[in-house]
Amino acid sequence: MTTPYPRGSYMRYASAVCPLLGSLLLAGCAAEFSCEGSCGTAVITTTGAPNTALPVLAGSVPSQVLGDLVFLPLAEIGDDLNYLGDDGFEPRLARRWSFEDSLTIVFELDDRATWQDGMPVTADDVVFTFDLYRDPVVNSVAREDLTSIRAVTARDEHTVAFTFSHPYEEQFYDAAYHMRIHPRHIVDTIPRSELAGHPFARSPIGNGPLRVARWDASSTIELVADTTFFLGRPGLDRIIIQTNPDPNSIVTSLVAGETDFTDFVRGQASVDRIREAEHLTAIPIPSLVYMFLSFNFRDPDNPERPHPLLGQRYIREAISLAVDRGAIAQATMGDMARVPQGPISQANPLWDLELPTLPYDTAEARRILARQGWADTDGDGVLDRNGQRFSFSVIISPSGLRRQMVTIMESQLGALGIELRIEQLGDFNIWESRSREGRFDATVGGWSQDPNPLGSMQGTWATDSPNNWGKYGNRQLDALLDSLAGGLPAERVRGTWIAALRIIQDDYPAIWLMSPAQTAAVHARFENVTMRPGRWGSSMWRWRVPPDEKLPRDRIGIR
Amino acid sequence: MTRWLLTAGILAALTVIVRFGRIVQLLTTPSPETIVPALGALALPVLAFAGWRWSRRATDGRGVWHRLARNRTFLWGSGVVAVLILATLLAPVLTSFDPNAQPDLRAATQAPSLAHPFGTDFYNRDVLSRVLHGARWSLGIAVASVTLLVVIGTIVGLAAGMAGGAVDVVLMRIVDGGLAMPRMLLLLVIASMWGNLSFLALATLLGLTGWFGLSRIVRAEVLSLRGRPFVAAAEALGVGRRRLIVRHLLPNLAAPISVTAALGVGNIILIEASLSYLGLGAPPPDPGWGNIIRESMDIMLSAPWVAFFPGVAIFLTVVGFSLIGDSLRSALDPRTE
Amino acid sequence: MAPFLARRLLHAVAIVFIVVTFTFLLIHLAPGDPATAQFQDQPVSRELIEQYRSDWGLDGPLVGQYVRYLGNIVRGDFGHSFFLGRPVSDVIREALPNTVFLAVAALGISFAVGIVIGTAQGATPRSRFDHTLTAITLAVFSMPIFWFGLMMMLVFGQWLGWFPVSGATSAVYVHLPFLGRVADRFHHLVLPALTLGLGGAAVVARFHRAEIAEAFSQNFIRTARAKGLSERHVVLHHALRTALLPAITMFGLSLPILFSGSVLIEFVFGWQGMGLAAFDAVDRRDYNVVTAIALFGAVMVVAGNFLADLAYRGVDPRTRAA
Repeated sequence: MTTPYPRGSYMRYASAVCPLLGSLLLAGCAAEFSCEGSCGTAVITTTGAPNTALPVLAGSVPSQVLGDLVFLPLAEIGDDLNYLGDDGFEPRLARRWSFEDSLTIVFELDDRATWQDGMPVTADDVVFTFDLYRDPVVNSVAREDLTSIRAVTARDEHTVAFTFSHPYEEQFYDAAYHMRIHPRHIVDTIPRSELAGHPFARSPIGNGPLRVARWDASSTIELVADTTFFLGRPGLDRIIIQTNPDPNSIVTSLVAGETDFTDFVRGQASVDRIREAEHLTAIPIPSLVYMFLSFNFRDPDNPERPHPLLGQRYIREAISLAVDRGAIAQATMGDMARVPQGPISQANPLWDLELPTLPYDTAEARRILARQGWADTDGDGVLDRNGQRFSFSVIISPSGLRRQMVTIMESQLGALGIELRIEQLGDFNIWESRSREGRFDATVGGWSQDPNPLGSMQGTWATDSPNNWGKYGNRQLDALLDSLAGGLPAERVRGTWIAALRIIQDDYPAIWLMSPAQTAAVHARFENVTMRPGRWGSSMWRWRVPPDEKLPRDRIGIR
Repeated sequence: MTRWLLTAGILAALTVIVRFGRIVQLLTTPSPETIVPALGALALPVLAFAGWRWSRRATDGRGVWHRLARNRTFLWGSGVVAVLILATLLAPVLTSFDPNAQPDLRAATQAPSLAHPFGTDFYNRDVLSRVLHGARWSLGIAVASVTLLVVIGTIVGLAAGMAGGAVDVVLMRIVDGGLAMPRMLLLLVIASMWGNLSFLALATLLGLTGWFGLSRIVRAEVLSLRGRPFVAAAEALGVGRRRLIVRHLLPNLAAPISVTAALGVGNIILIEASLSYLGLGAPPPDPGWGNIIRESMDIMLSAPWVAFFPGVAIFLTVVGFSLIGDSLRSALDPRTE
Repeated sequence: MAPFLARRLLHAVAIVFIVVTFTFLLIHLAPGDPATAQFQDQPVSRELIEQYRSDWGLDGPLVGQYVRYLGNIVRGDFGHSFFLGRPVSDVIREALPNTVFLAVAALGISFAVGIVIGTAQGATPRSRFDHTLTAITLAVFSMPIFWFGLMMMLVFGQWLGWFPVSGATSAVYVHLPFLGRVADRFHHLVLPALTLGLGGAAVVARFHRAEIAEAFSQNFIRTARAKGLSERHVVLHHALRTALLPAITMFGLSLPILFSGSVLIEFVFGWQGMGLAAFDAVDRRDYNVVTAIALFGAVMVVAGNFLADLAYRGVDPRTRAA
């Protein structure tokens, strides 16, 4: 599963699970948490609004976060994001599991788990959920990630078996990570094609720690704790999610104490404001997102032909050399972004591979272009050759970050006589459809990778893959990725990845702009604050407010 | 008027003295982009002083023009507008910075200083230079679209007023519909759905959605003129339609049209800035006043000057055109004297 | 009176019809549609999008869609919001009170401040006081309203921290006691209402000053003065009363202007009203919401004109014969 950025991703934050004093108590931090009448209220403000509460339909970070608060998976991935075997996975709806043979995993459901309407969660629900995720009509973003699961069958009311098409290391991850279990007794009564527009998608009955109590047209969503939640009473009474498109005023409302949490504080100035405020904590989180400028290998007007300019490798190489990625990252994200050497994000295990550094070298770029006969013969400041101008356009969606990145690039390329025309499209959807249909010279995007990078890599840079917008193709690369997917011996995995990434580096299908780390900001009164990359919502129900630090809104209680 | 031209001459001469180095620099890099503003800057004090000498001799007179020349409101308004237009044309002389150049990103967002009187923005671009060059976009759009709306509004108003009957009814219902349209919403829909509008497209769009009020005014004026003896007499004498319009109607329509046009420029500047603020203006990196404000949103707190100065520029321009419009109205309308 | 009413009503319906038709055509002819917008950031198959189009009645010839849409509107059914998955009437019902609240506050400020300033100016024409106020009102009138709002927000919201910078209510509004709710609402209202209201006050003052000045030039004022009435009495009882008549007209005509201004102000202050709903709906290609809001705006304009007309006829005896 690969989804376009924006879609947050977070690394575990050093948690305050066991305050020192607390560990003196016999029961330690596992002690039943007492709220003295009312547990807290957390007010979250994000820039994007969720559009569904159903995980199977969620395609954006805000929707996923919401789904994570209301629905549980069979098992939750650990904070270290391990995806090999079942190391680190914590039980959720499944109480225990066993690897029956190399093709079968059997989950035993927790018989205390119920739906929020009182019905028990059964093996039937799991079977149904698998069918739902695989249904082309529903078209979940996770659909393609489940292709190796051949069948899901109910052995009895609380036992369910997953059978796989072949033996591989990531079986457990595939079974547990992608799906959150949906209630058969309700969803089965709704035609699949109407699911997205159905009221149930906004007022669902889940199996998680919180339920949706209110959802305004203005996208304010109020979640209330399920006090009978089978894994323990949530540490908060209530979570209110609101949206505000202006990141600055989110920071102001954090400083003013009106908001408790935001997942993405952008820009050094804003981070400094958070750090200066005593009641706020800034949490840097490496992310699974990388951003890129993708070149189109095909002529956008006639996909049969190669792109007249960008179809040539030396042109892409020269452009890449001429872009100072470090300066772009520094200017737009301060210290929080790092420059990747390929399609890799900071939190990804591939980040640590030893890859050659793609240099910023304008002199070399100039040499390459001069050697090929590019010069500014007509004095208009733009290089030309045989009547062709060195000019191409880039399409971007209306995002401040993307606009800033291309504005800087425009200036850097302009210094070499390369004209970059910025085409800021009216909205995200137009940008997305034009990118998908290949109607662009260059496009700036971002992918949020899964903990297992292989699926994302195959879905975006392999020949003819669905999200390979620029129609890049290299058979050698495809073969290497296929061999990784087929289950290589552990000692060859690393070398194969390096070989694959070096091929990508050398073909310059895109400029690997940055992997932005994010800074979340949270009110300091919360304890137990943990966040893992990818999903901060999944552990938020454990946050809590010590009785002596309660604000008025923490005392509202559940009515 | 006389004193104004003298002041202008002194200011222009001072500018030439202060920025003489820059002018020489511009003259030595021969390209029309640099030479024209440089020569213009040199010619300006001469022209202003010549105008001053001339206006001292040719003082007292009658008629609209002379009345305006003694009208303080008009002088203030046209003074502001003239300064703005000249500053726009002479932008390269007034500032040494390229509006799109990003010298040393790491030193970005500098507060106003002698080197950068308006400070620098997120990309370390000189804000003064961006505001001056942004005027070309903002003023240009306004003038182009007002021209268009004047043409359409006048033609429709004349047609409705002259034809009468069913034509009049249909045209006026369309005008009513146009006036009832929530304009901001309409522009939002169009600009957002088509995206990335070019200069011409945006000017056309603003012109096409702005003529309704004028056509109504023109129609009313035509109807009232046709009731007046001299027009009625001309019509009775069988004067041709075209001659009637050109000789009798248009001269009398000049007053309301020019008032509408002057106020319209200010109005369009405000609308264009609003659209740009909502993200539907000049394509980056080119500056427009609304764009500069929008791009400053991220750094509004740490660098408020980036949003402040283009706002002042918009505001001064609109004031200038309002003053001109107001004074034209009173100068052209004999009833108010 | 009855034929007049009937004629005006017919006229009003015709205008609203034109606006609806135009908006419908405009957004259906634009590239992109809610079926593609629904899947914000998912790679989606063509088939699924087609499926949505037919479910939502977006397939088939435009004329058919148009006739269907008109029929529904006449029955008072504005359709479903594609993005929010709920009836458009719900969306409007939630957004409208916020907009009305803001508009009423802003109108109140506009007319209270505007008429006081205009009267004071008109009573002392061409004085230094008059010129100063003229300059100030011209200045406020000439500012881009969003920029004015941004500056207010920067100073009073961000720097001084006196008022919240965004939203119509706080997150926990529904859990506050009654008085807390009232206070919360007004606390959030101050900045947007002042921005919109002061912008309007400048317009009202400029207009009203001229009316007062005009009233002063008329005979009955001279008569009143000749009778030896105090200047205060003359201004308040004679000039102001005459000049209020046009102000009533202006009141009706201000409704739509407020609506336009509120798109920007609601955007600046994140105020969850019709303007923000419109902005979001345009972004999401949510046809039904956009058309319904355009229709609503048009109705406001027409109603404003109509009320202004009625009030004018009610107050001014001269117009009754016409």
